[in-house]
Amino acid sequence: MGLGEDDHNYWEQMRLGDKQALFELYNRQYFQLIRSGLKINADDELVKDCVNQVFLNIWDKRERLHPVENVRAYLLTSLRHCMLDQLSYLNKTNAALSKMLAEEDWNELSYEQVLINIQQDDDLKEKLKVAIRQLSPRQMELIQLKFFEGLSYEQIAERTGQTVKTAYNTIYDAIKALRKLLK
Amino acid sequence: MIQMPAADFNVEELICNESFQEYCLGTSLENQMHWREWMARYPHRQNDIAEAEKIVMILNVKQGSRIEQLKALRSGLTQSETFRSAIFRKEELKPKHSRSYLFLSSVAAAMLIGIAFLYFYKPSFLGVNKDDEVKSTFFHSGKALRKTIILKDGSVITLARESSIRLPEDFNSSKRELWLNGAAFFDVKHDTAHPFIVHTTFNDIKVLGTTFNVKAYADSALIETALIQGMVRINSKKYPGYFVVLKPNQKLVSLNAPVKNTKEKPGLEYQVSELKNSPEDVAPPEVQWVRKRLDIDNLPLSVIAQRLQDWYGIEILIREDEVRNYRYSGVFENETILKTLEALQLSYPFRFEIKGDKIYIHK
Repeated sequence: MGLGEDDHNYWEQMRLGDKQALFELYNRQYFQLIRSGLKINADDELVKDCVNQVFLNIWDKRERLHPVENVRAYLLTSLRHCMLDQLSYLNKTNAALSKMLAEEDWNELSYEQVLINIQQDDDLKEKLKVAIRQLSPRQMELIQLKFFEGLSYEQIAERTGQTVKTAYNTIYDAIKALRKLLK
Repeated sequence: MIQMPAADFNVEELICNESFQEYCLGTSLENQMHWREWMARYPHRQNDIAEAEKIVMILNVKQGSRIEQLKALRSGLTQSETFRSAIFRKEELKPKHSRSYLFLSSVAAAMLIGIAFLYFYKPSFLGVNKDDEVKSTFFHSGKALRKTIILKDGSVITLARESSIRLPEDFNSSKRELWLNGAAFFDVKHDTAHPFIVHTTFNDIKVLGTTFNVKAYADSALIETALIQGMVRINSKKYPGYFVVLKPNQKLVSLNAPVKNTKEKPGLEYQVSELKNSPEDVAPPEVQWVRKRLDIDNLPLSVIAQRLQDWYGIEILIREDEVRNYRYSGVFENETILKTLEALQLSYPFRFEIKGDKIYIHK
């Protein structure tokens, strides 16, 4: 709750023309937005562009903006619209487009899908597919929590009911195996 | 404090290091500095480090560097504001004083660090590299209140009274190092790959592109470093290996008593405190000597140039008479001379050229 409160304050400051507040919001929301964007469309350039575009837009029209209850939700929606606009403009992938148009029940990509889709290099894609199959579901879960969600080892331990040591070792072993498979 | 891996680290260990993961995501400048420095120590492990970085980037699915992205956002904002003020300028040609120019004052995210050094004995560093082949250029402010010098890499230095810097002749965009005696305000061109280092007798100040103020007068015993925005790292010369990283709105005060016992803890002599909160738009006392509000209301460039020259202490020469009569309006708050000129350029174009301590303005 406290976090949402802060977002709210930054939002109000930003509406008053405080650029630093805009940057604070950006720093606070950046990874969340990127992650959500990637799950919609695994194109990191598109997502990054849109995230910045969203912030440029709100700064541009800051005087006309209203107070927002849930800043994160507002930003997420803006990001979604921005990506939709971009995609339809580029007419890039009809699949993604139609998926996004069915806004209500759209299906997010899984971490594994994003992991593979984001890579341009076919060779690497194949290796990753193999690697994902080779690693245990537990290992994949922890890798996602660590590298995608950006949780600390303590947070992972807490969430999965393990000791910090075990969490670290699981990831370490997974990385070791992964490294071999990617060679 | 960040736990850095030992010299015999393996790639897996590096990948699993949380601070390294954050480095890959560019979450903080402090982190960036520590890791870049750490990496520089192991050039022979370059490939291992690159592999670790690559795997982290695969696993975080290219979430990107927040610092880099924020930089892109900032420049995007500046661009759109520039664009707008250019449009406003056109409307202003028939002198009508709109408030549009207020944009300009907010463009400068004034990042400053104030650093004040006061110490006991006469500085010897001006002669430090006596034996070096490299020749140096000296700049002295003498009795002038301020003297501004613009360096080859685009960084701007304003010297306070009775201050001097020694600039190695091979100072350039990739080798950014200089020696200071006295007080100076620095606006360092951002370049993460090439740190900017200010040497003083007792400390070396390392910055990655920010604005800061250094005071290093002789005959005194107090060193003071204040950081407004950005990140600096102060390495102690007295206690090799000891350093302090300052965060925005902090200042470092350190005493420079002569070394009695090298085992002494440096913690007593280096103390970090918060800067006094001053109301917005007012520069903290540490840097007020160099900050100024410049209010221009439909004045010809010749008058503006004279004002800038008087304040910053840098000679400004206008080549063509025609340019002298270009008229401008604007409010510049806490800007460096370079940013002020750039902002003026946006309203009505002219060119300027910098040669050491002189600025030439052309059509």
